[in-house]
Amino acid sequence: MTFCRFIFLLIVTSFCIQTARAQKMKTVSGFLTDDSNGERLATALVSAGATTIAANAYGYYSISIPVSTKTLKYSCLGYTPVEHQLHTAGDTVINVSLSFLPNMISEVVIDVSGNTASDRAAKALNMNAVKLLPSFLGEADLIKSFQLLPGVTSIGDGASGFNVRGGGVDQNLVLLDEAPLYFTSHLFNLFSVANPDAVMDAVLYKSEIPARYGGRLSSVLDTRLRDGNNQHWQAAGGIGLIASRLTLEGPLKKDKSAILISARRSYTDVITRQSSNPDIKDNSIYFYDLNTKINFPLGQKNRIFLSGYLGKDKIESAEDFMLQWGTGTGTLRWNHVYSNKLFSNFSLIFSDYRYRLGSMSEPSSSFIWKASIRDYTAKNIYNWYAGSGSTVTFGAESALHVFSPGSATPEGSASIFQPVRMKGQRSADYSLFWNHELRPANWLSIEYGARYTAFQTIATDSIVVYDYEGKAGSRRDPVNPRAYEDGKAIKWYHSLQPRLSLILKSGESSTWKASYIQTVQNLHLISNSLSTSPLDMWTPSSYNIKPERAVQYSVGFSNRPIHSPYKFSAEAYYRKLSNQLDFVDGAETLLNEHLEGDILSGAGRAYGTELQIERTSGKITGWISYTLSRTERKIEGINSNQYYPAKHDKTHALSAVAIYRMSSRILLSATYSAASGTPATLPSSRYEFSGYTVLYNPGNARNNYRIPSYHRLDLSATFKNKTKPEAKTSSEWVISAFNALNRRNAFSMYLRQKENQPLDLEAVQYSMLGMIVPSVTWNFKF
Amino acid sequence: MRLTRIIILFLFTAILAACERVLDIEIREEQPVLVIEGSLTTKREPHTVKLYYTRPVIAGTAASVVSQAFITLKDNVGNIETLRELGNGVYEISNMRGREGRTYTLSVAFGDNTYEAISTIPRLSMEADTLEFKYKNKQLLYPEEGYYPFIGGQDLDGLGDFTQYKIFRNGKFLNKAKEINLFRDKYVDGNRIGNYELEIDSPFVSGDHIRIEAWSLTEAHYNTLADIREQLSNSGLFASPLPNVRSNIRKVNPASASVTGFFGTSSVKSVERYVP
Repeated sequence: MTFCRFIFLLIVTSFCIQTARAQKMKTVSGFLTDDSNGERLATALVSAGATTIAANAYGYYSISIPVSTKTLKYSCLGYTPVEHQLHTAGDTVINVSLSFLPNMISEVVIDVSGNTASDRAAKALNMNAVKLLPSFLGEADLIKSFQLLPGVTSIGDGASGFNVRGGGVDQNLVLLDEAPLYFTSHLFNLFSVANPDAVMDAVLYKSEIPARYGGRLSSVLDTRLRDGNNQHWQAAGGIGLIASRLTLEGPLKKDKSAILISARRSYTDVITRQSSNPDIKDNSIYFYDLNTKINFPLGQKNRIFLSGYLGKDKIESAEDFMLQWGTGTGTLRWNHVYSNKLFSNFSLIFSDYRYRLGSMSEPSSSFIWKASIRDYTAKNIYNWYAGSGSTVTFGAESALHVFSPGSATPEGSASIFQPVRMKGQRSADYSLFWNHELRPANWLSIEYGARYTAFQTIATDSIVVYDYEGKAGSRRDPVNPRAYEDGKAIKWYHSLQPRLSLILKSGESSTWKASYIQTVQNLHLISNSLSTSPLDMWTPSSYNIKPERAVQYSVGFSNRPIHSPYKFSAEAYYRKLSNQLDFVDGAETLLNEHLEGDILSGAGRAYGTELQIERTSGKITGWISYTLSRTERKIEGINSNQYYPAKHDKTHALSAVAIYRMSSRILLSATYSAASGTPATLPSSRYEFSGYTVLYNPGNARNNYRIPSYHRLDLSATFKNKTKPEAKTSSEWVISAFNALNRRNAFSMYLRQKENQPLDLEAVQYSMLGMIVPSVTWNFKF
Repeated sequence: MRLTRIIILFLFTAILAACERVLDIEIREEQPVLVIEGSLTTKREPHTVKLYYTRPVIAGTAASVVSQAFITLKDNVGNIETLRELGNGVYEISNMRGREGRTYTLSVAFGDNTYEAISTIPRLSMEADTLEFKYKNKQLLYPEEGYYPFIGGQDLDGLGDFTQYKIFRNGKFLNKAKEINLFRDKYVDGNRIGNYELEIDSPFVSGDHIRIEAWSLTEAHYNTLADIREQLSNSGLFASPLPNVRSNIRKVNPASASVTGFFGTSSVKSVERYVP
């Protein structure tokens, strides 16, 4: 295999280079923190001469440099750089605190560029930057902010999640302090679950996904919660039109340990209860988020982090109807420094998503319906700083996934329903990963690695597995039943996913990049709707559902002229997908014991070019990004078995972001998004049958039309109250207008019956949020 | 409080006031496809089979029809009848009557095209033995105030019963997609079912004459009607891709032209009442 040979050659070359260089070196290691609150600086860089390395996710660094090196430079975007004089010739530990640049608040911390050590194609957004962007009803939204970056889109306003390079919303691994989130929206997709006050930052990997991440095809959004202030107690929060936030944090022991508690709750229900209109008064809809995190050291070489999240949405309509959904996660992490060259983290992770739906309007038809997915994960990861800018990240991960696809129980004795309980499912995956970053030359940086995953579906109770037979494209019937006892493996799937990326520096200011990645996904979201809904459940790869696979090639170029505030970048990608899921006509995706008979699978492809120009300093900062792309699926039984555009395909997508620092107290920002319409399916013919109008769509054409194009302008202004420079209290007013153009952007398009002539049809567009939504929020800190 | 009222108005208009707007869109025409529509029930009235073509989805042109087709209907106890053309693509079943439990085969031939559909008249479960009207004030689940229909009935023991309720208001058949009322006994097998609400587009008023026909369906027929309902009531955030309506007509000669449609067989009973 040419690829394996290439990797082998790389390894040999890299070790030869290292041996040649490995003479008279010393290692400097330590942690990098923010001096005001003790937060670890995960995006910091350490450099000595031509050698630069990046701190890991816990702010730890280790750099091997010639013994003659006298100074080390520490830097982090948004912080004053620090130079440290080295006095010893031997190995040493240096912990460094950097000071936040007060004037840098307007700098949008995005894509730490110009330095190969950190210039992986990962896009980082700092929550401080996200808070400066206009938001819906004043709630800063991390996931929506990522949609302003090239290659990241969503189906439309009100749609849950996000799409990266043509991937489905279920093909992104969204992590909150390492815990996977299975549904990321509040209030029917209007807000995302990340509480802006509890989140430190997030990194989106879409070109090069390091081997330590796995399980989803398209991207990884790694969200980090703040550790809490270990210097002094502090309270911060905000009061908005729809929700309020409060965060308390402080040292358990100064400089050593900290605790953070952050809560957010919407008060839509409190407002509705005040109404005199019974229509509104009897309905209640709200959500809340609760984040807590504690970290403390155990001796010199260990640190423990314990974090948890609980979020819930609750909708009730009088005594008639109830819907709740929510996520709970917990992460226990243990950092250990084995030596100045070896750092490890061991994590135990729990994640749970569940919902409850109840109908109580009529005693005869009352029921409660529940479903859930729960994960238990153990992960051990090592950073080995082998020297000369060479870092090896390796480890193992194992997870158990427990699915309850649905159970419905009658409520009360008058209910006509019989209890229904779908068989539970279990699956486990076991992964090993290895990732090696090295710099054979100043102009070349290489990262290669692989992730091996063994995936197992396990029988729960005693379960019967079927084969499914039938005509391609329509419902297939179960045949050949086989019983499996509880705990028996039904099916194993093995995968080796190589990852490779190269970064070449050309001259002082230009960088070329190329990458190749393979990804595999064994958990599948069963959703047949335009936007995913909180009721959609996940299902594991099994006897009849094969793992989804993707191979992606990308190349990129970036240029940042020296002393210029501008940076230009371009990237092109091609992604090939297999075993993509779709559904037969009339598929039943909920409470269907023969779901596999309703699933279709096929191929996909996505390709595109992403351009971005950024301005990262000055009075006006921001960026303009443009993506030209195509995402297609080819599934037997759909669209005459030909390729068709996927539901989230947008040919053109343009975003512009501008943040204008008018004075030290006034900050204005605007975002503008424009995109081609997403596809829609319209039939070409109709007939009247038994008095009804019936649509006919020859060849089962899919996505053969486009809805009108999309434009949205959002505006925001932040007014900081006057404070003395040394004062610890501060506050600000944020005024924003969402959809300032007051456009009714189409979300979908379909045919409906005319009101007075039901046999005749008309085409209509459906819009969410078809009006300007102003809001005002007051934020404080003391 | 005035401020709260304004905020409420805001939230609900912003969040819930998603809206529809009519679009002027040109839809590409495709080759018309043959539709075979056949029905045989236990009702004491002549039944028909219709042969016609699909037509453009928006334009108001009339459907073209197939004349001079040779159509036969036979049952599983040896009866057979050749249908007589009434004209305009409509063929009458003059002699055969639908009987519960019998299986019928419809054969259609014209030119080189031959088609066949087989269907059994299933037993009628959950026939409406009570019909009530409840007055509902305007609220979230009832956007208009007025009378809404509720039926009661007994589901027969044994899984696999499917029923459709056709509603006639003052003799006029309610034929909007959302008014396709379907019942299946998957989770309620063998139970007495009371207060089963039927979906209507606009509520009834005092004095309306309401007739409810309960039609027994085969599973295939149920799926077809569910598809028709899905096609035209599938909007909004959680819409699924447009399904084609499933058909039970099959080509006998594989070279026959494309076909869609359904031959349905049902046992029918009805209940009628005036709204008080």
